[in-house]
Amino acid sequence: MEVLNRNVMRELIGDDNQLMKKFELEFLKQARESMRKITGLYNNNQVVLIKEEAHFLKTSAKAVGAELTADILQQLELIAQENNKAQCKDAIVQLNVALKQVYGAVRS
Amino acid sequence: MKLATREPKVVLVYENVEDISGASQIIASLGEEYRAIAFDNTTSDFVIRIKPAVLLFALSSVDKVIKFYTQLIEEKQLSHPHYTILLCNNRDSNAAFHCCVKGVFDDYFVYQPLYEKLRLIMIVQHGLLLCGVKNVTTEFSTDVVEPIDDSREQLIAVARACKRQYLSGQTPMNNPSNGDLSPLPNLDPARQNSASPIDDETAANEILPEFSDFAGDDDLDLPITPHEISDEMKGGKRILVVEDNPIYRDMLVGVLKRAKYEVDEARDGLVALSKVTDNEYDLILMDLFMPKLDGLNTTKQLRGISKRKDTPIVALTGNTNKELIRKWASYGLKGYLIKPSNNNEILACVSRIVKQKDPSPA
Repeated sequence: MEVLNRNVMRELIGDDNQLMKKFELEFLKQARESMRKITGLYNNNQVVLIKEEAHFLKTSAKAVGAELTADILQQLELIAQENNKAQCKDAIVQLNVALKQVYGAVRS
Repeated sequence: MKLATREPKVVLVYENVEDISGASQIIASLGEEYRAIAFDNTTSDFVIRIKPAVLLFALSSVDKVIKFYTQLIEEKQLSHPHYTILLCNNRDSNAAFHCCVKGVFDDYFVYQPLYEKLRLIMIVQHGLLLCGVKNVTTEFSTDVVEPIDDSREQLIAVARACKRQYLSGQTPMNNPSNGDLSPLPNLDPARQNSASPIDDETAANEILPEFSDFAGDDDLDLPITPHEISDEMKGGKRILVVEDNPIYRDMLVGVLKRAKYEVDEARDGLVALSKVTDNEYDLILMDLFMPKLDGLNTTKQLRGISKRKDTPIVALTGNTNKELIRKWASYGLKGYLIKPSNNNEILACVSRIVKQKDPSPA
C-alpha cells in the first residue's frame, strides 16, 4: 500500500502529468476541509457523523491513488459507525499523518 | 420578531388589540417586516405611504372592512400591487367567502377562534410571493411549526424538484421570487459547519487540526477545469454522471469526454432528477452515498418518471455491502463499477450498455 500510487490515477485519466498534478492539489485542498469537519465533529462528540465525511473523502483518496489515506478512511468509516470515540481519535491522528505524507509526495 | 418597522411589508389593521394578539404573533413569526396598526383616521394615510405588500384587516365586521378598503381605493388611490386578507370570526366566514369569490379580497381567514395558525402563515406567505417580495422565508421556528422527519422532508424535496421541472411556468405562483427557491434544507448534518466550542469532557481529548499548515499555500488554489477537454464532442451518446465528490466526478467526466461521449453531471440525486426530467440520457452513472438524495432513492424516483423508467443506470460504488447493492439493483441497475475503476473498465462497461440500449454505432 503506497502513500501516493500515481499509477492509479494514470490508469484512470491517462498519462497527463499536468492534469494529475491538478487533481492531486485539489485533493489536498479537499482533504484539508474534510479534516476540519472531521475534527470538529469529533470535538463535538458527533462521532457517528464522521462516517459520511470519511466516505466522501475516501472516494477522491482512492481516485488519486492515496492508498494509505483511503485505507485509514475506510477504517474510520467503520469505527465512526460503531460510535467508538477512542478508536476514532487514533484513526484521525493516523489520517493526519497519512495526509501529510501525501502532501510531501505531491510537493516532491 | 419585527413588530415595529418603518416600512413593513406586511400590515395588519385592527380595531381591538386583544382580538389580534394570537394572529399577530403568528404573522410576526414569518420574519418579514411586519406591523400591526390600530384603525383610526390616520390608518389610510399610513397604508398609502408605506405601500405594504400584504394587507390584513381585522375590524369588527366584514362590512366595515369592505367600506374601509373601498375608501382606500377610491379616495386615497391605493394602487400599488398588494394582497388583501380579510380576518373574520367564524360567524362572518360566509360573508368573507363571498367577498373573496367576487374578487374584492384575495383571501380570508377565520381568526376567531384561531385554530389553523399554519394556514394563516401560508396565506400571508402566498401573498408575499405573489407581490414579488424577495427572500420570503420557508424556514420557521419550531415554536411555530413542528418539524417533520427526514424521510418526509426528502419526499417533499423530491416532489418540489419534480414540480419545478414539470410545471415550470404553469403554476399560479410563478413569479421572480418564487422561481428562485431558497436552498433545500441540508439533510446531511456531516456537511454542516461544526465549529462550536469544545466542551469540558472532550477538551482533554481535543484533536488539533495540524493539517491546517496547508493554509496559505498558493499552489493549492489551482482550480480544476473539468471541461478543458470538451467542445469537440457533439452528437455522441449522452451520459449523466451523478457523484457528490467533485474530484472523482471531474475525472469520470474527463474519461467519458475523451471517448467522445456527451457528458452531463450532477452533484446529488436531486440535481440528477431535475436534469433527467429535462434531458434524455443513454446512460446514467450514479454514486450510492450522496447528500440530499442517495443513489438508491434517486433510482427509485427516476423509475417513477414514465418517460425515463428505462434509462440504463450503472452504480458507482466502493461499497461492498451486497445486500445494499442487491436492493439497489431491484430498482433496475444495468451493472456496477467499483470506485475507482480504471479507464478501460469504465469505457468497456459504458460501451456495452450504450450498445445494448441502441445497437447503432456509438
